[in-house]
Amino acid sequence: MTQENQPFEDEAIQAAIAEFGMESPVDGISDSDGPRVREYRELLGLMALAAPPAVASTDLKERLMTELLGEETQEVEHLVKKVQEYSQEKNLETKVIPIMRPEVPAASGQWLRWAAAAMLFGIVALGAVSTFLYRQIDTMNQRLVNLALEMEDAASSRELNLAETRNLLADTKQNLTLVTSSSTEICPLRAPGESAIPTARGILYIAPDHQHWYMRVQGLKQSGDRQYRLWFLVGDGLSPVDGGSLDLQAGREATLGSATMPENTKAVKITLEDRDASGDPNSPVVVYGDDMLRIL
Amino acid sequence: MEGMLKELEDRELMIRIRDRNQEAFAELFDRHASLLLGLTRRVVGGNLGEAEDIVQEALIQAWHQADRYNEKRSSVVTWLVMIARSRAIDRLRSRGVRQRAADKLKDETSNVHESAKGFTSVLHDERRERLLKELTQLPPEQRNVLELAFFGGLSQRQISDREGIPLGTVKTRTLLAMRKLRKTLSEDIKALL
Repeated sequence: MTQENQPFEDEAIQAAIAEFGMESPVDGISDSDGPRVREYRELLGLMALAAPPAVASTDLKERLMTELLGEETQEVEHLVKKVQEYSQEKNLETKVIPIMRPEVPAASGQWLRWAAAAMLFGIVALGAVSTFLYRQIDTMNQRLVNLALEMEDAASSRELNLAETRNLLADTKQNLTLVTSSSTEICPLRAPGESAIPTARGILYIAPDHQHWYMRVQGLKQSGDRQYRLWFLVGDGLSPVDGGSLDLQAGREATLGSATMPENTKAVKITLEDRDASGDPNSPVVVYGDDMLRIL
Repeated sequence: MEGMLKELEDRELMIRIRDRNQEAFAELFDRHASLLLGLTRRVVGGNLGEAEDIVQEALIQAWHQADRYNEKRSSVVTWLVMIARSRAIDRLRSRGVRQRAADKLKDETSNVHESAKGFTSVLHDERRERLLKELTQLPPEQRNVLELAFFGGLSQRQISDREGIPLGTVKTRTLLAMRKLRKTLSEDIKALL
């Protein structure tokens, strides 16, 4: 405690002591309601604990409560007597009707009712909030599941695309090798005089193993519901062997390649067949080639 | 109803006592009667019968003056202690045995630390233990002036005359003792605020 606070502290002590009846009030000390005075007042109250407690005799409480009741009864009797004296003076009829002491509603009873109502409201509100949150959580869970499935699909799709890309790259590299190798044979493809598509032309690249090949055809027209088909013409009889269909790509170009070529292929031709056609070619030739040239 | 009253704090009981609720008053008696009896018995010098009379008078006064109790000025128990102590000191003075009680007080100093378990509530017991511990920590001369003033009802001048020490010394010892106890018993004091 600082020196400046001591006088204030001492005044508070003096005020508390005086209020407790332990000393006469000191002139000039007016702050008898300050918080510090209150603390010292309570401290003095605690001093009573220094005395050993005593057990009350059994009838002390009874005497006390009887005295309280007696005082109240006496007060009522005194009032009744006064009323009777007055009534006699004025020659009035009187009748004493005992009044039942009204039940003082226990504040705690009301408090309990309020507490119960508040608790009930709280339970209902909690139930509503819980239901709402449960639904929200359920919706979120469903969204998460859907998202996971979408991600899985996307991953699968991406993997598929990647695999396709890899395959395409491998094919392209192979085709590039094929096209640029000095051992590769090439076969020009031309539209015959009677071709329905005189602008059609192409090149067939054949690897030295006569198995791997790659073909590129340009100047084609849209096929509609018909399809361009490649035919290997094999042996001296030039028997047609199906080499696959060509899909028209951007512009009017088509490419096709494979690792297999029928043995003893003498020539190739492309025809424009019906999509569901099978067996030997029935349509006019679009392009034809039988000159196998080697690139030196 | 009775069970409900036991859950109420003292100041809530006082609200009902103002409405002349005797059950609330009975509950207040049960809580603090032994404390007040111990206090008044110590002041008047050991006679339990006389102490009971004083406590009865004090509690009747509290019943009648319940509307004058101000919870901003003191806790209920401190208010009751003030009334009971005041009644006991008045009884002492009216019998002219103040000096004898003060002498008796000195003799009873060694009994201050009597065990009181079983007579009062657990809260009173715990507070009593802490108070007694702190009182023993005070220098004996400071504790002496405090107890003479509180239990003996002696003014500081009377203590000065009785103990043969200057008035200023009595005041200083009182102030020092009060300051120290306020600090060491701050938690118990705060609980009563």
